Amino acid sequence: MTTRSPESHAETEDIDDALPSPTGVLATRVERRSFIGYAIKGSALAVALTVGADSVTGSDDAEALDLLPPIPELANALDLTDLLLLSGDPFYYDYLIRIEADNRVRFELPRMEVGQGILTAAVMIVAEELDVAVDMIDPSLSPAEIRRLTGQITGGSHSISSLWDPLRKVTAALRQMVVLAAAQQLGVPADQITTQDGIASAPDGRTLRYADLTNGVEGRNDLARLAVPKDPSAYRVVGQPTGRLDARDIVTGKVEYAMDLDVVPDAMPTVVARPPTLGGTVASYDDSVARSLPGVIDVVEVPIDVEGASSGVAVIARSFGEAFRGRDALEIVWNGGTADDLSDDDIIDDLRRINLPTLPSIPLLTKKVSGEFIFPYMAHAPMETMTAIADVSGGSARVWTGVKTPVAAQAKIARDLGILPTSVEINVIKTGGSFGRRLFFDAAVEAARISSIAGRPIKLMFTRQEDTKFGRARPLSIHNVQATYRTRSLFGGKGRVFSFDHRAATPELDLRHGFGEGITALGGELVPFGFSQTIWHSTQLVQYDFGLTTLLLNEKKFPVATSSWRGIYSGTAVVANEVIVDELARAMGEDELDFRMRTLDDERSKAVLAKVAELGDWGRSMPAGSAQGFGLHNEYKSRAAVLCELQTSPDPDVDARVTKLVVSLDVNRVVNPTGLEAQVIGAATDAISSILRTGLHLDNGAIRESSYGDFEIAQMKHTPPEIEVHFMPPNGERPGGAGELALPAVAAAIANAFARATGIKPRRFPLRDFYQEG
Amino acid sequence: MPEITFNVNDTPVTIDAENDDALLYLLRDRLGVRGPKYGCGVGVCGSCTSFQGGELVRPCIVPMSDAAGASFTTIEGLAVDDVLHPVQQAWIDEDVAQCGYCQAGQIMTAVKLLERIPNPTDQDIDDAMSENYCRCGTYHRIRKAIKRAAAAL
Repeated sequence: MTTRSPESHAETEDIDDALPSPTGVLATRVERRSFIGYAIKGSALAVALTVGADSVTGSDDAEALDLLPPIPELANALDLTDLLLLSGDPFYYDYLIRIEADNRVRFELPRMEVGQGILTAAVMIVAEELDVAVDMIDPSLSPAEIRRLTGQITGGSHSISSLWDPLRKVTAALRQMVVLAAAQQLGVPADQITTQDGIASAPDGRTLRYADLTNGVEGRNDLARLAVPKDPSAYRVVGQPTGRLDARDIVTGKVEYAMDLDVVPDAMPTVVARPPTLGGTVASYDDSVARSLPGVIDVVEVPIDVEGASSGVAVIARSFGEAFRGRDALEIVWNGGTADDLSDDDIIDDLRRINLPTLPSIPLLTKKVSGEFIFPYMAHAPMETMTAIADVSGGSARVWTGVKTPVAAQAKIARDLGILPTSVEINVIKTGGSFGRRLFFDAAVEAARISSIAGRPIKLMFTRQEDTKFGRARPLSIHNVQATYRTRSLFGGKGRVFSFDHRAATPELDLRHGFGEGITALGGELVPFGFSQTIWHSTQLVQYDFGLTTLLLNEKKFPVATSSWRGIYSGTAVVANEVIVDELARAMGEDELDFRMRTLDDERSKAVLAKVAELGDWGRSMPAGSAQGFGLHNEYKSRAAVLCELQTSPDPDVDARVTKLVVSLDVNRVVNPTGLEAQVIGAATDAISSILRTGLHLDNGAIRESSYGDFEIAQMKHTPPEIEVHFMPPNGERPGGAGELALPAVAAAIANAFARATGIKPRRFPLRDFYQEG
Repeated sequence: MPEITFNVNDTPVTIDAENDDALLYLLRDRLGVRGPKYGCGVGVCGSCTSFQGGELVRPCIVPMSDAAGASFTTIEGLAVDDVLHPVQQAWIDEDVAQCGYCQAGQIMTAVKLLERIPNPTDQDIDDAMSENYCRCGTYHRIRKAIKRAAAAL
């Protein structure tokens, strides 16, 4: 028998252990699983299907069912977190942790802070291993460093996972330097030196400050791989709720985003007049009125977007208000865009054409549950729009911007300006939100171009309207999901699910922001299509024992610029899967909880699911029009389960409202509980926005929405009064990812609660645009 | 060149007023008062919310002509010396902020809510705070912080 057991699943999960022993039993399993995962797309599929069909119609029911081969997904053996960590590992043991003369600690984090709290979490790790207080550390974000290559990417929820061992070990090695130096100076054995709050002490009470013992570390430090970090039983910082380090600066208005910096005093406010439709270009323009307006300094034509395929006219002025007035006074004749006849419905038609077929139904005795799900384009809409300060002169460029992929930005700007990457300085500035938007660096590239063309430093800001209409978006997507099942066997017992197919078709998701170098070494820019397949198969899995499981993606390029949106594919694909899971349970006459508990093939998922069912009182009586719903997600080495309560309304003027959320996460170990809870609440709010409330529309080559007035993200009045967040205790494994983790689970739980409250099968999103009860 | 004079955080300022720039850009780009943030430019998001006299205003839609002679308080002027307003302190205690970009406007709006309704209900909070957008989704903690501040005031 070749059925998959939870035990073998757990064993193969840690690829770090599995890869170095290719001849071992463990590695054999990994190889078999991943290669079957790919082989199934060819001829093996037909064989498997035949076995399945014969089995169903055969007489020996139990044995026949066991012949159904479980199809391992790549993501079960080697997921995107593994790929990112494997590719980044050569560059991770490289930090600046300096002990200053005043005994404070300067720490540079080679990641990006966008509000997700990574800076606070990283400082907690340093404080833990160095035996200093959190408030003794002065943290900042590292500028782009070419030598860091794939070790300086923030995305894919892998920051904590990728910092965990390297940062602990480099810091532990630094503390060991402190101890050895103190032992020598104080003349006592090293094992008698204790460290606390930046002071090394001998047993007789003599002390030395760290600053008197070491300057700290900077640069590559691979010997630190051998360091032994603190035993978790001794933790006093990691695992304790710790408030954001910059909370006071935020509430007093002192925190500085890119547009608040005075780093280049004569960098002047700049705004770009952009074409009426996507891909449009300037045919001609008259700037005579604009130039005559007070405060206007210069007007230049500029290639826009990262690739420079479109163009616009930049106005540089004394203030942004004056730049806007100058822009509005321009007389521009535009060439048409690249997709002026294209609207959402055309894209949906095209995607239906390219979507791969689901498997033919297995005949006889089987029934099926299926559906086509459609999710809209979705703006990231961070509160801070795309911004950058650029000063390009004398063959070099200096840029200040909020970017999660600074090394890729540096390379792109260098190519764009025809200079060496070593001549491009990218200063990474904490920013007002990302949600995937700042994987790209549109404003930085454009600002460098404008500065170069105008011959002066500038500060470029996208207006909200530009950010919505010309920003990137999560691609629209359609998903055909089909499951075949039999309600109960001929000889009694529970029903079985025989197959589960997911066919997704989406506009090509742009991943050319540095993950490419991380995963293919060739770069996503060279092979975007094949690269997308890698990302799809390394992030998507069905964590239920549903027999023959095939998840396939097909993509086509469309003119709307795209970027991952709090997750890559899961925010849509997992919702479709979990809705079908609920429908399967009901079709098979089973309770949605019981069905999941008996078909889940993952013990950690069962545990978080059981927890939310218990905490949320699954099955409790609900008022008419309201219901509970579950959602589960498994990615980033973590697990999430959600129980949602939703109040719907038959009145089209009253929106459905999530009234309660109970969330349980298993992330292996929580570094900062208050920070992680904030991420859960934020992801839940994103789920409310995307599932219930809003999306973008493409109308004849232009995005219809322009601001929060029509791209209606969740507001205070849409958020649940009750949110309960639970974390599983540490299990000894490396912390998994969590920033994106809760979103698919909450989104699915909302959709499932909607279905249970109304009897409507949720198929198109946002729900309130397609169903009166939403 | 015509000039206008107004107060920002108890400091008188005089600035040439050749056009009808909105107050936000005078504050940020010419006076260096950068606590109020640009979020939408059309008075929708609330990131620049400040006080004009005793009232909430959105500087991105306050024309210069309305600013003459007025007194404005921005987030930088809310704390007295280094003593935080109870609402600011509650924001820290509840660890409200994520990216922080909208929080100045949220705090200013909450201060006025509590002046008007010292012990707001959930419905009062929904009504008062729903026109201040937070893309990070910190609303749940904003609600808790408002209740905490109400208890402290």
